[in-house]
Amino acid sequence: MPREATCRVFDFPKSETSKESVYSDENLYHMYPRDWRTHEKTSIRFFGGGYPVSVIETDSTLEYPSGKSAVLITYSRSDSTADEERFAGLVETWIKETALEPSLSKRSMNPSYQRIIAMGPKAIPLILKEMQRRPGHWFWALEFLIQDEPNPAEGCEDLKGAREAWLKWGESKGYL
Amino acid sequence: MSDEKEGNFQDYLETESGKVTEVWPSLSNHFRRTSDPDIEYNALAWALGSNQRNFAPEKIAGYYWEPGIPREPTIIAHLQLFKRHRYEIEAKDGRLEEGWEKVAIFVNAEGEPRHFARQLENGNWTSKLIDLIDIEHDNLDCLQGELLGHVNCILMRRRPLKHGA
Repeated sequence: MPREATCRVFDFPKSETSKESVYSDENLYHMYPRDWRTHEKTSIRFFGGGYPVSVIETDSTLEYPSGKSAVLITYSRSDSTADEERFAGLVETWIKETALEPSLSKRSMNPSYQRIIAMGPKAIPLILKEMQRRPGHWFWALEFLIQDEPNPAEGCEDLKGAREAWLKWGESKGYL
Repeated sequence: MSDEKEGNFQDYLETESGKVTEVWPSLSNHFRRTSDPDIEYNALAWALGSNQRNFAPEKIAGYYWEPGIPREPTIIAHLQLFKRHRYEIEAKDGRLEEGWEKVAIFVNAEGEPRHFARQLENGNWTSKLIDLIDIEHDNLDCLQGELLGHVNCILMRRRPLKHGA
């Protein structure tokens, strides 16, 4: 079993999808908490800008003339992380642009909301998790995204009841 | 999602609620906040006396619309809806009339209903401001404008007799 370590990468630019970094001894000490010099396979969890990124390559060990070791690590923002980040950005924009809009249709036709719908089925778990955190006007998008499936909130006449029905459905489907 | 973004919707609404006089400058010195922000109900529901439902003509499960009333954002459909709730008489104006409860319907330039306010027994009005707070305001003018439109009509119904009256 590979050991696990966690490294927080603060300089992962939002515009980049992958990045290479060379970590020297000091950093390695933190990433490989014990016996790092044995070069045992170590699973490292990275967090870039607060979001997890997946490591592509970790075992290219470099030797410097000074005798110190370093490891070349290539890591990338995973697709799911990129989706989460995109979703989060669209949600924030949508809230800011429609918080003072009383019409449900106009809220739902907002470009950011439509972009969330355009993400397709992968938006479903993101919406459900968002709805788990805080109430919001998400039923329009969810009804569209499940397409021909029965609407779990069918017959609900209040937002709280509909939210509970959708979250229960999400759990049964393994989205939550 | 970072902790900063989590759970801050309520804070966001709270912040927005604190800025109502920026959105509606005429409200200054003419309103009193009467609730916390809440998205479970909207202005139409509140005008009809409910804080449990969110009325919307769109056919989306979770939102409520009266059976048999056309599902359309028109003044005609909304007049039918208010008639269902006994608001059958059009009032001349928003002045307090003993024994009558009034509601005001605000519409935009396209004639779409945007806001609803209900008159209280003291002559003031109560409004739910979109997803934000409830307020008591002393006139209808202070909410009129581009965002919520202008008062299109005021309807009234008999107030229920008080117990023992």
